[in-house]
Amino acid sequence: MGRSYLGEFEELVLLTVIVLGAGAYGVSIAEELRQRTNRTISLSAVHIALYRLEEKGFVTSEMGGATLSRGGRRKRLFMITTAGRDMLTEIQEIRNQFWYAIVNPAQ
Amino acid sequence: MKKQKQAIPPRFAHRLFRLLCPPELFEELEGDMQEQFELDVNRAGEVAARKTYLLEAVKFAKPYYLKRRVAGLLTSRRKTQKKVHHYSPKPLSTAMIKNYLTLAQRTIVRYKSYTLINVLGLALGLSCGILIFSLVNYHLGFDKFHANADRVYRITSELHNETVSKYGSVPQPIGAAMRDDYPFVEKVSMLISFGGNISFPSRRDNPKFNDGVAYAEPDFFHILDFPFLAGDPEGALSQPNTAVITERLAQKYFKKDQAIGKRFRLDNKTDFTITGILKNLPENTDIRQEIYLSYPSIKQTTPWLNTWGGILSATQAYVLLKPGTDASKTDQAMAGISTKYYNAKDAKIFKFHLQPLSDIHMNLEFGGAIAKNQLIALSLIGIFLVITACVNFINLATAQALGRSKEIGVRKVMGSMKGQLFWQFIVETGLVTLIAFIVAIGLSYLALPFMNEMLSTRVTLDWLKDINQPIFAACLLVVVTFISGSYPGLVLAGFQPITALKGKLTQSQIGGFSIRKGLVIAQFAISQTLLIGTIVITSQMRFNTQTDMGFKKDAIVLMPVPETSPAKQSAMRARFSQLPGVEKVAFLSAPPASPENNFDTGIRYAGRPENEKFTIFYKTGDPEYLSMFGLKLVAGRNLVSSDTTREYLLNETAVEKLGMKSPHEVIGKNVNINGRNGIIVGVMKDFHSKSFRERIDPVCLTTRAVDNAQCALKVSNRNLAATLASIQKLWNETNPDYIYSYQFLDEHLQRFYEFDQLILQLMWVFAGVAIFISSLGLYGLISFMVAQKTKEIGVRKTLGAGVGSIVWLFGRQFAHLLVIAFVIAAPIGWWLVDKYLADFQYHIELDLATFIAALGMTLMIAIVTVGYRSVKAALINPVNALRSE
Repeated sequence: MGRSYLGEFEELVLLTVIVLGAGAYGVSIAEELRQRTNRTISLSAVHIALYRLEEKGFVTSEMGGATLSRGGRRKRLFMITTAGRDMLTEIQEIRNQFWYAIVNPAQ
Repeated sequence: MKKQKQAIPPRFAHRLFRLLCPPELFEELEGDMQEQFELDVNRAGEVAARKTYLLEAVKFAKPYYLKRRVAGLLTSRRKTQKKVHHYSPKPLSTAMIKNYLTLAQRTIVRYKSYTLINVLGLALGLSCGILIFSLVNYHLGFDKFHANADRVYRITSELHNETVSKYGSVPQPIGAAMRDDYPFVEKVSMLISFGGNISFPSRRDNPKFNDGVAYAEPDFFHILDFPFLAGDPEGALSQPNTAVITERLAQKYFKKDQAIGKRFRLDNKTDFTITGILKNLPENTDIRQEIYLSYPSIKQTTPWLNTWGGILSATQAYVLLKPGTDASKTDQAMAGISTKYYNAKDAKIFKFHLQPLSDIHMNLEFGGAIAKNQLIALSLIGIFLVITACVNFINLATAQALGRSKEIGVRKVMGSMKGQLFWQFIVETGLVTLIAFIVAIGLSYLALPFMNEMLSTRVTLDWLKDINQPIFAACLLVVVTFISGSYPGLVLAGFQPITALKGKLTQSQIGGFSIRKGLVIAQFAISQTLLIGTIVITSQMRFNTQTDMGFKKDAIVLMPVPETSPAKQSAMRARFSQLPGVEKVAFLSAPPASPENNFDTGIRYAGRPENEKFTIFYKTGDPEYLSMFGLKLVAGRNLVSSDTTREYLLNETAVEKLGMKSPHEVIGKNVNINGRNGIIVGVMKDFHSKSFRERIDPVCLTTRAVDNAQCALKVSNRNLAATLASIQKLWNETNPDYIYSYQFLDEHLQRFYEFDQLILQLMWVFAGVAIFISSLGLYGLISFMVAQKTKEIGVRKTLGAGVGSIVWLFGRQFAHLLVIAFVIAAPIGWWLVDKYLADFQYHIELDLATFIAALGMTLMIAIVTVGYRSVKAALINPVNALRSE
């Protein structure tokens, strides 16, 4: 099939990118995930996931403007692509089918 | 909002993060890290935030980042070049290397004398290194080329008398015994060598040659690999009276003719047919015989050899053990030889062992060429010489660096990076090393023949044949470049541009001054020790040749008498006496003192029941012997020429050893020497019968014409060349079947001291090299000091100091370095030469003059070196010196 798959953590990161909209970058994604999942989230892991997602074509990124905070360093802002949305939808549909089958065992 | 003091992430963690983070992600990641840290500080406090930061940083050590980090390192050059605003060429890009080469070339041309000294010093050290390496490599490679080398052994003998003596030779029947008695033996071959007189009676001109021959069994060529060019290796030497010779000898004997099938005659007696031609012997084998004769023929030519009781020094036995034989167990089995072939008493005396082929060259006990630890010592000397050369280079280069401080300063201001300056210096050093290396190779090729002659080796410098040599050369080049280039390079690159431009660099910025002084002291101590040794050995050698040995040795020519029948001797005597330049003729077995042909034998005096406890040198000669050598009689009369009544002359030492008080007591007494009874007719005044290493031994002289294998002629010094020519002509006429040779007695006696001569030559070479290297070291040190004191000199001169006082400023320091060196060298030198002289029974006395001379010589050299440099410094116009700020 030649299509890329998503790991569980990658899926969560991708969902966070959608939720955060225009303000999605390393620290905000990590904070959001920490709040929603109650897991320990390390920045380095979040970034690996983001770079992988970008390589797979599910997100794009661009550098934001410089600010006075964070030592004057620029942020890399991430946005979901259509491929990313399709992927999430597809995963959701497959899961729905399974749940449907679990609830209605007769079929 | 309250402005807080900004919290900073832990520095160590930040560094770790920078180290781990791929550079292209650095900006965003560092920003995120910083933001997270600030968040954490607000939320959980600084301590907790720092802890989290460190943990986060550590977590960047993930394969994903590491991979990108390494990949980034590899491609960073390309990327940085794209970023124009960060442009700074990496130190080793092609353009930079070109630039370094140009700069290096300019520096070399600009400082010619400096380059010359550096090149000479390095070249000397390097060529010593190359020569020593090729020597060690040569010695390590002996007899390794035989296919079965690990299974080949030589049988050795031990004779357990009062002392144990060890020989690499064996009794002749042992080969057959090994073959018959021991199943672990696959093949055995005896190898018995003699000197030989080779002639070709079938040819009209009947040419004669002196070449060594060796009797070998057919298996010899199966145990050791000496390839055949022609003839059948399988059946070689199996037929009696056949021979195998090398290609070299075949060419020498037959020029271009086919050698196989030709016959030659050995010692004018036995004919041999050549059935095989061997390839020329490789340089790295100890088995150097070039004529192999079939073994059965030895019964014909040397019938007396077949005994267990005697060991002829040239009788060797090589054994090939079966694969898998434990060599340590064979020794026990070999003990069986002693018990089987000797009676109970002799079995305790004669013991035999196996010596591995690889041990033969390295074991001095059995006549090996050089011991392993000597090779190690030699290698250490080589390493020491190379390192000293490098250190001298460093000395000079750092001194030079001071002079170049302004260049470096300007370069730094213009934007040179440390790495670029460092590599610039390495390239410069590399170029100098390369030139020195080429000079060194030239020097080695020039010195090689002398080294081979002095050490009797056959070392070759062939880079195509032996892969070790080019590998060594390449390593040497790289190592020397880095050792000598990196320290000055680092010093240069590390200059503070402002201080460098101001010309205010001081010792402390260059560093290591006391190390340099220490090195110069060590170099001079070694030079002085060697000089002391050289002076002492030279004086002892002069003593050896000039001291009266108790007999006359000038203008006496010795030549062989191949046929010793009385008739032949009187014929020769009659003809030689007629020659105008010949004053006296004597026939004898050996001159009063001789390094060879000494025959030691037992003596029994006047009816005593047993032989004396000492042995006596047995010499024969005709009644002319005494007058020929100017020997004096202290009692009795000279011998009378007779072969019927046996008469003996003893020397004073012999009389004393016999326990007699006065020489007159022994006259007319019976004595039995070498199993023959005779009468003592006279007593000779003592003379030295051996070298000055040994005490005067008991000597006896008798007439026994058949033992007179030498003829001595006293010649007049006038017209010597003509006399020698006519002697040769006459000799050839009287002995047409033999090859003429002659030697002057005093030259013959020099052979006592061949070893000392060799040591002396080596000492001269080493002393020369050491002195040269130490003066270079000194020159480096003084250049360094002069460079530092330029301004001091300027001030002193403006205040009225003369040249002398400025030279003294430097001289003072070096005088005390030399004195310290001497304080170290003198006791070591004294101890060494004392050991050397203790070896001589008759020797010179050590005196103060020797030591003063050594000190004086090094002082002279130091004065020349220091003087030249410091006078040059003292003559500088003070204005220039002061303006150098």
